[in-house]
Amino acid sequence: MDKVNFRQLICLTFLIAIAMKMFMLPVLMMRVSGRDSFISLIIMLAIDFVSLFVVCVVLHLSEDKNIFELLSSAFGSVAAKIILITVGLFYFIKLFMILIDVRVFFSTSVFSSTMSPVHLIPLVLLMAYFAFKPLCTAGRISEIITPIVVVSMLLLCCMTLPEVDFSYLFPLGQEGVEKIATSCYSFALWFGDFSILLAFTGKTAKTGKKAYFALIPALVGFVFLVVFSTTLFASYGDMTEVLTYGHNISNMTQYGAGSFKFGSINTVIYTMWLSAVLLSAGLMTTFMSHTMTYVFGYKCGKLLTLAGLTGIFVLSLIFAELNRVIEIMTACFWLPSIIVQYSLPIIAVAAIAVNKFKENKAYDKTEQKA
Amino acid sequence: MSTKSLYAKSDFSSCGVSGTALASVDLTDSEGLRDMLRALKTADVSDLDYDSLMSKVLVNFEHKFIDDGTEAVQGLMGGDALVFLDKLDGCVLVNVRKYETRSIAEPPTGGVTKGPREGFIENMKSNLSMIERKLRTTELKIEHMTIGRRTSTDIAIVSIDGIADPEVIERIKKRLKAIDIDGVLDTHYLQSYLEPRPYSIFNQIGTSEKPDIIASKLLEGRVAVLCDGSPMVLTLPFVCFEDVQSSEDYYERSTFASFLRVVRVLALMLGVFLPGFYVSLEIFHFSVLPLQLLLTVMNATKGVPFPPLAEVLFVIFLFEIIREAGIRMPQSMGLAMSVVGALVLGDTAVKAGMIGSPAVMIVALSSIATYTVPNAAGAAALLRVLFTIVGGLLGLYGLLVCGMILMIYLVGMNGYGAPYLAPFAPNVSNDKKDGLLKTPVVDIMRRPESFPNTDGIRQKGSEVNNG
Amino acid sequence: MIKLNRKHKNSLLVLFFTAMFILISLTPLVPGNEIETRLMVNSVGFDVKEDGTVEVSAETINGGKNEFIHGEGRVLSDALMNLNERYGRKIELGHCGLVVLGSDITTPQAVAVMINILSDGMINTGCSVVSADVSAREFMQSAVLLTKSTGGGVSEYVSYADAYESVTIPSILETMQSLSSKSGAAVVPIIGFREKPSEDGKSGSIGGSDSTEQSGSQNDSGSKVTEINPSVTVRVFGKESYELEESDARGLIWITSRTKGGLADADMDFDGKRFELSSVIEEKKQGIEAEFADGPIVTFSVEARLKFTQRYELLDKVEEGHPIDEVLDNVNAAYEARITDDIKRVAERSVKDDFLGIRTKLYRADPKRYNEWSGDLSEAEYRFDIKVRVV
Repeated sequence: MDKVNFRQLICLTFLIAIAMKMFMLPVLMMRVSGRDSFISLIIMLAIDFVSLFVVCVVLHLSEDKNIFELLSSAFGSVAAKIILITVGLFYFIKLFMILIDVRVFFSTSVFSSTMSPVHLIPLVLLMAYFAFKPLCTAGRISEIITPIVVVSMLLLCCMTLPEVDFSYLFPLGQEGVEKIATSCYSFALWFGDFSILLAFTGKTAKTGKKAYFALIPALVGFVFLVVFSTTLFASYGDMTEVLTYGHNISNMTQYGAGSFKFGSINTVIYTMWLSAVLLSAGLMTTFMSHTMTYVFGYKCGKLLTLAGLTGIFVLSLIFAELNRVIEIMTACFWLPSIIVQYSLPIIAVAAIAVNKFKENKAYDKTEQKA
Repeated sequence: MSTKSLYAKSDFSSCGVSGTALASVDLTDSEGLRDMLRALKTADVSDLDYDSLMSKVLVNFEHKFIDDGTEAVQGLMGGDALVFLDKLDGCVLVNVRKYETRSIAEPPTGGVTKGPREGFIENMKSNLSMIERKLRTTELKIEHMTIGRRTSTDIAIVSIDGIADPEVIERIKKRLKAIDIDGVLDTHYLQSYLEPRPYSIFNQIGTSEKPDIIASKLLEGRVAVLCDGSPMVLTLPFVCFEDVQSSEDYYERSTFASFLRVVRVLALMLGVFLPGFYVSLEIFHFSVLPLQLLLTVMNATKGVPFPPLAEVLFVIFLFEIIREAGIRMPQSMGLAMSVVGALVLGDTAVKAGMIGSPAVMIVALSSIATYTVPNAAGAAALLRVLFTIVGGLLGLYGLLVCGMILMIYLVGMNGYGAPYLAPFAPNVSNDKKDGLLKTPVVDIMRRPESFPNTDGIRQKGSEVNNG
Repeated sequence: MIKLNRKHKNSLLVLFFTAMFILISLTPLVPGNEIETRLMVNSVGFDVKEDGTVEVSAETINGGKNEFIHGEGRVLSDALMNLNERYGRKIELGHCGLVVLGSDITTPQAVAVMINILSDGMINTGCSVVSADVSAREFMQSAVLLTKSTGGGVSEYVSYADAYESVTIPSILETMQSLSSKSGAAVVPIIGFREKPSEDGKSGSIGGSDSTEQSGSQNDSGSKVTEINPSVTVRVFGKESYELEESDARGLIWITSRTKGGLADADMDFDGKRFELSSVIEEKKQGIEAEFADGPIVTFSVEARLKFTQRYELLDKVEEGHPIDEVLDNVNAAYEARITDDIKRVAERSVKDDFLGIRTKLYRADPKRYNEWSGDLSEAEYRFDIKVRVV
């Protein structure tokens, strides 16, 4: 029985809320809009929150139909397949981005002398393993990981926040509306993660209206995210030239007095936090695998997923330099990101509405005949 | 040289009917056999047949009528006596078995400081009697079968009717019936047939040598499988956390029991991850170590010819040799060789600069920690090696990825309807009352919900609960 | 899709472990012990010579002993490379607790050095920054020798001063924040050496109004002790780099949040007699508020609780009939006057290079007005809200 329960949905929502946005994103945003990245972040998170609400509506109203059944019963099988293929391709790109993010994080801190795409192989293997597992696997793992991630984040808060001068964040709005807007849409690929939860359409056990409670852990995740990002924005607001990839939130923990004596425990905490990222990536892979399965059948779907993962590895060999990857992602993929990630929940809601309309129509006809 | 017959035959005539008794020479109780023959010879019954034989003559013996030659042979070879009456089909199987067994004592694998100390022995009948003494209910169901073409080993499937899920029982019976092997000598032979993933390194079946543990598991809705000739009893379904639970937890105060369980879980994780974590920090992430500790490690590992990964693996290998030799060697040599192992291999090797003292300390701590959960020690030992290799080659990154793969593997395991990582993943709130933190028995109202059972209520509310 | 049966899976697993074992047993293929290839640096110093050569001096901990190492190069990365080559190991700044800037280093040079080490992620952002009263090389050489007996190293000694004395030691990130902000200036304490006559061959006492802590050693004659002297004197990195005398820098003790303790002195005239007051700072709250009214207004606020150490001196006055409240009120007023005076002096000095961060605060308060303003701090009106309570 491949279903997730309410608690697992809550945990997954929390982990997805924080997963992808803690590594490269704050630094990248700062390079565009400096301190005003705070405003861009708040705007994008607000949009994501609305998107999550729409996803909750889908999970509530979809009953036992999975996403493919929902779309095909509303718009027809062909349209449903086209939508899901597009979604699958998009998540293939997004997965590439996540895996590169994780790999570079470790490459710069650990394997600095051998910054090789070969380090991506363990991640690809992990994703391949995920692809063959049911959705409930992600749900169960989220229940194990969430307490660890929460504790590690609280620990980071205790170590970091007392030493930070948040007044350096101000004044806001000095970079101009244009830069804030650029910062918003350029990094759309890093947002819109909640559309992955549509993988659980029809697969949430007895959730019903409780699905809307998923908004709460998302808010909590956003709070953590904003606090840590603000720490970075405040600390480096006037000196963005200092920032390189390695200067993500991990360095903020060295505000903790005497950390050079006590060791950089932040590395260990970050590794625990990374489990949320890997779970998010795994969920993406599973979603991709499921969409391919719905469209092409089980065997072909799994083969295509494996081919996609192999393709990711090959791409990482071609696009080995991180800055180049980021340039392409921000320049070319912001529009597809916005379209796919934010329209998919809306399309799903539309599908529910169409199905409802069709049901009512059929019922009326039956009534008339009777 | 002469060949002695394995079987004894005695003809008798009683109430005008003649017959023959056949029994094994070595496996029967001679006194019981004599009593049986006396009863047969002095029987005073008109129209002696098998029914009157069983109901009036052999009333003091455990007996049954069989008309299947194979069953008769099996019974004879098991130590039962066969009584044949002339001109009648079939025979009566009379239980006069007796063979030497060891006395009931505390099992070596389940030592406790409080609580019962009796343990199962190799005689299945005695084992069943110990269970029956604890569960005095007519709902206790025992189903017998024999497995093994050449051993005809008696197997018993024990469950409580009205609690255990009949589907689980059927699945177990089906798997056991499908076994076609020449001999079953121990319950562990059955284990690989009953497990969903026999190649996995993880336990998927509970085992115990203590009747109180088996009785409590039966009361929770599990099914027990006993095997004649083995003191180890299997229980199904199984969840991972059972290995962490100890019978002593139920004979201690719940707060202390909770503390012990937390210690066990932490110790197990320490045992599995510590060597890998240490190696990864030493090779890749030494900035994580506080400065003073880092200097200590640097000084301790100065001059060691091996890289940290090889050093730790070598020490792990050394410890496994010492452990294995400690189990196998004769007792007379035990003390001397322990000294050799500990002092010469450990201390002297460190002084000679072959290995570093941090590595010895880490591996020693890890080895001891894995034995806080003895049932999981095997899997923990293997995982420890895996994580050490991964940590040494890929650092914390490798540990993370490997840890995730392990988690995916474990959450995907389901045996007989029980998720392996229950009650943590998926979360089963009711079972957490007897989970990491143990609540007192007065508050455990329901049976475990991690695996199927047919009667969820364990106890109703009482005056004690209401204060 | 190739489906493996269990037997094949098992064989593959065995093959995998065999391969791993072979790989590991071939030790050249396994990562070496990284620790042994690194030079763990406890504190590091930077100088830039007149010809632009960068000198790096560091204290390393090698086999339990603190040692001095040195390298130089055309640019910072060359200097570090030179250091690596000289000692055959790679320098590791991850555990570095102290950065020492030489006395001759200019502001742009200091900024360049700090940006370089921060951006490469070599150093912790919480690492302390100080300035030496000599070149960093000379300082490090002497300091390493002097602190050998303590075992903790130069950074540990300096961090003690930071924790317990009235010395405002900023972190490298704080320093860069100040330099990169609208104010464009930062202060770092100056640490140097002084010789002091020894008393019976022992080290001198702890404490004193100039807040010295010592880690000393006896010279050959036994009559003098050289000690590291972290003082209230600071170096300002602004448009130029210069020293701020103790009398001018004393106000910093009161208005920076980094100082938690230390000694406070004041003079009091009471009933025709002059008293020299001495107290220990027990608790301190401080703030600098800046706003635009007609012009810029800067308000310095300090709320301090001091523990008076000379009660017995004033008891005479109490015995003469003066109420104790009157005496304490006078003491409080004396401290308030002194603190106000100290802060005024440091504020006056900060007009040239805004090391108090006033321009940053004004910018935050009202960016629009700030952009219209000339930027001249001499136009600012300074207000003081000082409250002292002596216990």
